[in-house]
Amino acid sequence: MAGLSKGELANDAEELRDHLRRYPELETDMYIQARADTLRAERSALQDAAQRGLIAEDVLTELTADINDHLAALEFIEGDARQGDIVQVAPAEEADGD
Amino acid sequence: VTDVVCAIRGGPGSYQTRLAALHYAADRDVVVHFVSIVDPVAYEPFHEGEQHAIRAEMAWRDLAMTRAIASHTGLDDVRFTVAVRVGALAGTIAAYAKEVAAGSILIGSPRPAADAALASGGAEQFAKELRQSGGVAVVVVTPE
Repeated sequence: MAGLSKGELANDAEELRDHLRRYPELETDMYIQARADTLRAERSALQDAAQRGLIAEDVLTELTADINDHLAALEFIEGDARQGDIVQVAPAEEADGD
Repeated sequence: VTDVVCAIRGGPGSYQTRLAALHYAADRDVVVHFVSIVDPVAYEPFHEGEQHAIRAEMAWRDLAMTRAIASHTGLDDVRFTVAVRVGALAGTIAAYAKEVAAGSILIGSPRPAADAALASGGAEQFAKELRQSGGVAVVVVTPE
């Protein structure tokens, strides 16, 4: 990173924006991935805090369950997005295109 | 001029639909109310904590994605809200439009207009169903 000039960084950022404009679903995937990574890091930090005796076991259990609910929600959202948009293309037409 | 509801589902066409809705609202100086519709058949098997998390995460995703698109396209000043509703598509969208007193509903079509007309006409059929359910104007956005 230290070797890159401000101009190069700005250019890379613009290229990334262009790429995301062309493939907008990537941005949603990146968002979901970042959110899942954050939740996993939070869960790991909680386990660490419990091992150090900083939080009680029942607090760890409650907070971990909440994080797990949110991770399950992200999986659901990923699957739901793959189902398509509000208006679907009829399956017969998709088969025609194969 | 009244507000507009934009129904989305997070699929590949949702970027174009969100963008079109932001332009639509900017051109008319109205608020766009984005609503994600969740299929109850897929949602109901989850327990209460997971259901709450699904609604919360979807709302955050919609807020983040819409802000990102508005920022990329210079539409930061457009006023919008996000909501998540569970239920059958047409009835739930129409009910939400009534809830926020919107005068029109915007939906995305997965195919360009000409292509869609040759194929199923699914978007127009759905728009007709929506008009009958909600008694409001329905705008179909087609990809370029």
